[in-house]
This record gives sequence, structure tokens and C-alpha cells, in this order.
Amino acid sequence: MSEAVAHDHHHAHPTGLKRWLFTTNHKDIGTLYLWFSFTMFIVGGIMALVIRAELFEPGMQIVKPNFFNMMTTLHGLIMVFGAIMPAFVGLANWLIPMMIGAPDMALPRMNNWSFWILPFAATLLVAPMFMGGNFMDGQGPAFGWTFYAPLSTNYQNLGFFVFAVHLLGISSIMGSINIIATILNMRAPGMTLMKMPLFVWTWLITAFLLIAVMPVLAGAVTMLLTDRYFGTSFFIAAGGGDPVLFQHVFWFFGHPEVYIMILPAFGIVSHIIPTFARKKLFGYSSMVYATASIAFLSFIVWAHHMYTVGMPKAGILFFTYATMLIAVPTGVKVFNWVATMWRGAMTFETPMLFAIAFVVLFTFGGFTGLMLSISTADFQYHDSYFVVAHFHYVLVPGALFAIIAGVYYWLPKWTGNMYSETLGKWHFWLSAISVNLTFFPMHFVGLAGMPRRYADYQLQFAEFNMMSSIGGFVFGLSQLIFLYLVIKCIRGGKKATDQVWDNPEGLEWTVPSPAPYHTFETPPAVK
Amino acid sequence: MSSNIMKIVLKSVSLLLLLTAAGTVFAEYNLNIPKPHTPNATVMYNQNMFSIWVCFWIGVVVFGAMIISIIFHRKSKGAKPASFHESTALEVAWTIVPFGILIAFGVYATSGILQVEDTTQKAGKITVDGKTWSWTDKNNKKSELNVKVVAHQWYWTYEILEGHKTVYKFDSVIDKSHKEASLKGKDVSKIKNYMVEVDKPLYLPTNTKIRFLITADAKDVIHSWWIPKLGVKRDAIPGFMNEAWTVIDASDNGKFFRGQCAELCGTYHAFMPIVVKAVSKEKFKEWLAAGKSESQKLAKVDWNKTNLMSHGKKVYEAKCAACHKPDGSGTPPAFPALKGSKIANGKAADHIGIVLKGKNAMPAFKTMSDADLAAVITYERNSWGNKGSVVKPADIKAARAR
Ligand code: HEC
Ligand SMILES: [Cu+2]
Repeated sequence: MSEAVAHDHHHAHPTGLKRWLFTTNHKDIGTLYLWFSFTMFIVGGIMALVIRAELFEPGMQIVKPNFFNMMTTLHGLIMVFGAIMPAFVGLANWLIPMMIGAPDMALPRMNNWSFWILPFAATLLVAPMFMGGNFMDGQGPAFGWTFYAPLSTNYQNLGFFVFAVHLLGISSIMGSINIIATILNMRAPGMTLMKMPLFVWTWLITAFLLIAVMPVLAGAVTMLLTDRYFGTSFFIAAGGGDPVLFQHVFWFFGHPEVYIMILPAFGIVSHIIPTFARKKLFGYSSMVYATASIAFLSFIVWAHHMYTVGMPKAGILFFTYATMLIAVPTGVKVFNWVATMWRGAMTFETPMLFAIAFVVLFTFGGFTGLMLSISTADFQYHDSYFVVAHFHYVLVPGALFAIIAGVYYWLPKWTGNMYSETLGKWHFWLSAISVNLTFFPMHFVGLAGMPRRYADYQLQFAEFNMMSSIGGFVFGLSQLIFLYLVIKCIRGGKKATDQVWDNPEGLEWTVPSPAPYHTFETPPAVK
Repeated sequence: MSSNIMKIVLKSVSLLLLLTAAGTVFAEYNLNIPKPHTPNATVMYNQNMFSIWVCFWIGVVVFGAMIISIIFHRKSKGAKPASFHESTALEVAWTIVPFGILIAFGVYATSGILQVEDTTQKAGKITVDGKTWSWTDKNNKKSELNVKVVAHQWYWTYEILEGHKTVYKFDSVIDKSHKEASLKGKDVSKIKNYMVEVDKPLYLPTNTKIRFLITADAKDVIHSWWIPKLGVKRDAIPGFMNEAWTVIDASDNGKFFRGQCAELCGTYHAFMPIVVKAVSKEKFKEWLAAGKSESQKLAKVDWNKTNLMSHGKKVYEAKCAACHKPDGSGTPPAFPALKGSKIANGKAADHIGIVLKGKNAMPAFKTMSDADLAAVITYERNSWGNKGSVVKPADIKAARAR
């Protein structure tokens, strides 16, 4: 390992395109991941705006039904696999080595590879949109991001989708192996597990989740592939297969997947709140145990996505109870954050604003989650806009806000410059208001009976849909402020100090700003 | 400072009371689950309200604490940070207390699940929330009426069962004018019951314990049969027979209950609504008798080419036009054109074969009647310039036997 690092030293860094193609530097790769994620966020966002434009009014004015279905499908897949997950991996790359006092990731070449697979996977995913037939008929995948069989096995270009998912899975698994190897082997002397920063802890647990469930996803898509092209009938009833089996397999991956998208967010927020409350994180060890409990529970609740498939009573009861249990460790986390703020000396810089919004709105998403866990009530919520509202609350002001908060928080360390606080505040307030304008009314239309993935809807839902659409466009446009702010900050600005903030905790604040290309070549001593 | 906190607490409590008052008018503004009409829908509604209020009060505590600290514990107010960062007692407390709340939740939820899932309901009546629904249950049978619901891309077939036999079967398809208005981007703001109107609603008798048997055609995809006010949502899955039950009170005689497909089922997922009309037992009998005689009449028609073509056009527009388009042009490559297609101009056996058995994304239509199939196939073989042979109901019958 140390050899590779030493080796790197004797060469001048390659420049231009080559620097990025061949880089094995964790900071470069982190940057690549983050820009890739932002690009995908824009692509997925444009698709969301097509959806919101179509739903602005009842009647179909802009696209055809199948194109609409394709938009909901690709929007979901791109945001989950292209935007949120890579953003967290990008942050992990940048931060984990610096937080544990390591010179780089444990497996730098594999690191390069796991990133460079992603653009190809994304291309395979969207390519069928442009293949054959009329573009407006929607030639891409249009079976929902959950790709339930047998709707998905009917799709003529299924192969592209299957291989895209395989590549995404390979990338995630390699990234996870790398993160686990780094955390377990490369901590600075004296940094015991229970001294690790929470972002490192949450990522360690997330990485294990990924390694456990990505192969399950790979299995699911492979079975789809053979059903479609090789005459098997895993999920095809006419051939003696079982369509419900697909849902069990998918959600065995899918439920842990939602925690994969939120656990690192918990970590980020657990760094930001203490810094700006000027008070140590409350209940560090209970945070670690709560994260581990959530990860464990995430494996035994999958069928709460399937209450309406006709499970036996005992199954419904089991999954109801298990799902409710998740509220306990999640509650512990929220209480700890509030206790950290309690009697602190708070200031409200942009990262803190996003972190506070995260706590409030994620908790709100948690409440609707608790409601959804109750199977009897879920018979009304299931597959309605109530579910759409729920998971957007935990993913947008949840996961995404945490990512944005993290970017603001560490941006001065990365670039050496302070970002513009004024623009940051504009970005925050516009985002926070519009995100609620977009997603809050969805609770109402959902409860009132609007099914999800509907290209057109009853007149009684018109007002709330119009509100959501307006909110969606404001939210989308507000993100351009963020883009501008980040570019401006990279280009220059007020110089950041090494500490950046008022006495933040963590090794990353002990290195100069901007963080040099190589950090911690000799490990720091941790007390 | 403590008097300040008191003020804040007082203010928040009064705001809460205001919100509570607003909460009672929830139902009127379509902000909530619609007013329930059956025992199961009532249970669902109550569980929904229970969980909303529990979450609401937890939210008051958590967000209240946050708001207080955001207001008072800020540096600009000269706050000095405290140094505490651990308390086993607190951690234990906020693990145990939520756990206790969840046990209450669990017990309450369990009672609801047991009621909704028990399709036998032998008692002859059921009381929820002080309201009683009763039905005549002379023989202590599982159900007085069994209705089979079969999902297709993109319509529902209803079968009224007597014993194990289907006595009346019909398709319920979205009102053509609604679909057309939607797809053509017309002004839809004046259309009554927009998107939730069908050509033939399903009639259901009141004061009758009804059991639904819900499935999808074996070669179709998954759908979900959902009527919010009746409290029924069950997935219609190829190869599976799901059960649900309901009973409608006589006070709802003459009311329509509307719902929609709730599981993504392809292009026209939004275009397969469900309409149920609640009627008295006598009305239901009349409706059933009329339906039976109509199907018999159809069986007696002389199926010459003219009749086949005119009936075939109707069937085609309801069942096939979604994919193959009204003018037979399809949307290639996903859905092939029938206009000029080799199969439609070639051997009748191949044409019958693909319609009966389906192929890839083409559903199988073997549950359709011989007459409907003969008509639609004949129509396809003799429209849009196609020159194929005429297919008679007897040909379909023969093909099925093969
Ligand atoms: C869900 C969409 C869908 C519906 C509804 C549908 N079809 Fe098809 N149909 C298809 C697809 C897809 C194919 C191509 C199958 C293949 O070859 O893989 C097809 C193929 C056909 C073919 C063969 C065409 C050729 O030249 O290969 C015929 C004939 C046909 N359908 C008749 C019908 C009839 C009759 C109905 C109505 C009773 C109907 N279809 C309804 C999707 C549909
Ligand atoms: Cu459907």
C-alpha cells in the first residue's frame, strides 16, 4: 500500500483529461463522483419537470402516456442510482481518508474503476430512449423504478436495463469493498472504532448493507433477463412462475436500499449540528448503536411494500410489527440531534440551515412512514400519492438536503475558499419553501385517492397538483443557484482558514485549506 | 427567560387548538381519506386518524424542543454552550417510551388487520364505531355473493358467480369519450366524473356479504383493484386468486363508488377505472337477469360478415386499439401495426393463435367469448385495406380445442 503511495510521488501529476481518466487519488475521484452525481441530478430533475408539467392540469397536454411512464421510471432510477448514491460515495472518497487520518483509499485503482463504470451504466440506462420507433412513444424503460415482473419482462429492450443495473451494482460493490477495507485497515493509530467520526461509522454500516443486497438485485435482474430471452418462467405465471416472488426479491434489496440512501445522511448531519451548536454531539455511542439497529431491521421489513399482494395474516402482522420497530432507533437519532442543539450556542450558516431542515422534514417523512407501517391503513395509502409524498420527504429534504449541507460544510476545505453566504441563504430558503410546496400537497391528493404513476387524473385533484408543479419548477430552478455558487467558490473568494468553522471536531480540519493533493502521508496521532 | 418559555408554550398550545379545530373539517376538503362507507373502510379511516394524531403529538414535543432551542440557544443571544453530551437515563427513556407507544399502536393495528383479512365473517353482522352493517346469512355460507374480478391491460372483467359457475360475465371499460378527451389534450374541466366513468358499471346488492375474488389474466401484468370508499384494495396478479370482502348498507342504495387501478400496468394504467353501483337486492336480481339474457341474445346472433364487422369494431376499439391504434397502425416497434400485417393477411389459424395465446407484450385473450374473438379477428382481417378471411365463432371453438 505505502509503496503505491510512494510511487505516485515520483511522477508529476498528469494533467487535463488524463488526470481524471487515470486518477487514483481519492480527492480527484471524490470530485468526479460529485460532478457525475450533479449531472445526473440535473438529468433526473429535467425528467421530474416533464412529469410536473404534464400534471400541471388534468388532461394530457405535453407527452403521451407511455412517455410519461418512461419519465417516472427513469427519474426514479437516475435519482437513486445516479444522483443520491454516487453523491454519498463521492463524499466518502473525499472525507473518509481525511477523517481517519489515512493517505488515500485502500484500493485506489479499483476506486478509479468503480467510478468510471458509472457513466457507461447511465448511458445504457437511457440509451433505449433514443432507439427505434417514435421518440414520443417512449422507447425507454417504462415499468416504474421497481420494474415489477411481468410488466418489465414484456419490455422489448429489457437487456439494456438489465446490464445497466448490473454495472451499477458492480460499481457499488467495489466502492463498498474499498470503503470497508479503508476504514478497517487504515485508521490512524489511536483511532479506535468507537472514536471514529459518525460519517465514517454510518458509511461502514452502509457499505455492509450494499454488499449484502446488491447481489440480490443482480439476481433479480438476471432472472428477468432469462425470463425475457431464454424461456425461463421465474416470474411468469403462464409458465408456472410466481410474479409475487419478484416483489419479495426486489424489496429484499429495495428496503435496505432506502437506508443505504439515508444512513450516510445521518452521519453528515451528526457532524454539522455539533459544529454550529458549538456543543459535542449528544449520545455518540447510542448514535452508533441506533445506526446498526436500523441496518439490521432493514432486512426484516421488506414486505411492508407489498401489503396488498394477498399475504397471509401472520405475514402481514409480522411485517407490521417489525416495521414499527424501526421508529425506535430512528427516534433515538432525532432525539439526540435535538439534545445536541439544546442549550448550545447556535449560529445558522447555510450548512446548519440545511441540517436543521433535514431533521425537521426527515422526521416528518418518518411520521408518514410510521403511518404507512400500519397495514390496515396502508390498504388506502398503498400506491397512492401519499407514498410518493412520504418517500420524497425522506429522499429530497432528507438525503438530498444532507448531501447539500455536507457540500456547503466541507466546500471551503476542498476549495480553500469560502462560498457566498448570501447566495447560500437564497438557495436554502428557496429550496426549503419550494420542496414543501411540491411535496406537501401530495399527501392530500394521495389520501383523497389519487394513485401514483398516473399520467392523467380526476378533476378533484387539480389544485393540489398545480401547486406541486409550481413548487417543483421553483425547486428545480433554485438548484441553479447552487451550481453557480459552487463554481464561483471553486474559482475564488474569501480565503478559508484551516479550521474553516468555529472549532469543528475532526482530523479533516487539521490539514490546510484547500486540502493538499496528498494528506496524512504520515498518520496523525489520535488521543 | 423561563417566563419567555411559558409564553412560547402558551402560544403554541393555542395554535395547536386552532389546528385541531381545522382538523375536524379535514374530510370536507378532500384532504383526507374519503368518508368510509363499509366496515373495513371505517377501520382503515380510524387507523389513519389514530396514527395522524399520535404522530402529531410526538411532533409537537420534538419540534417544540427544537424551536425553543433555536429561539433561545443561539449565539447571537449570547448563549454559552453547555457541556453535557451524554445521559444514559435519557437514552433509555427515549427508547422505552416510543416502544410503549408502538405497543399500543401494534395492538390497535392488529385488531384492524384481523377484521379486514377475515373474509368469512360468519356473524351476519358487524359493528364498527357504533354503526352496524348486517346481512342475511341463512346458511352460514362463506358469502352470499361471490364476484370474480379479472384484470386486463386495460379494463376489468367482472363475473357473477353462483356456486363455482359464472352466470354473468362482462367487461367494464373506461368511457371512450373520457379517454379520447384526455389523449387528445382537449379541455376536460367540464367532464363529469372525469377519468372515473366506465361503459358498464358493476352492480352490487346492499345488505349482502360480498366476497371478491381478484386476479389477472394469466398472460397479463399485475393490476390492483381499489375502491377507496369501500375499503377494498387488492392486487390482481396473474396466477393468484386474492380475496377481499365488503358489505354495503341499504342507506347507500343508488350510490356510485368509484376507484382506479392502483398498480402500474403499462401505458394506459390511468385509464382503467372502476365503477360500482350499490342497489337493493331486488334491483340487483333484475340487473343480473337482464345481463344474462343479453349474453344469450349475443349467442343467438347470425354471425355473418356484416354482423362480425360491426361487432368486431366495438370489441377492437375497447380491447385492442390501445396498443394497435384505432387505424391499425400500432406504435412500432413496441406494438406492431396490424394494417398490412402478415398475420392479419395470412392464415386465419396463426391470427387466432396469437390472439388466444398472446406473445410477449401481447396479452392472451382466451377469456373472451368465441363470438367476440371471431368478430374482432374478422374485423382486423378486413379493415384498413387488409384482405384476410372471415373467422366464425365455430373456428374459435375449434382452435380452443386444439
Ligand atoms: C398491451 C398491448 C396490446 C393489446 C391490448 C393488444 N395487442 Fe396485439 N400485439 C401486441 C404486441 C406487443 C404484439 C407483438 C407480439 C410479438 O410479436 O412479440 C402484438 C401482435 C398482435 C398480432 C400479430 C401482428 C403481427 O403482424 O405480428 C395480432 C394479430 C394482434 N396483436 C391482435 C390483437 C387483437 C385482436 C387485440 C385485441 C383483442 C390485441 N392484439 C390487443 C400488443 C397488444
Ligand atoms: Cu391496471
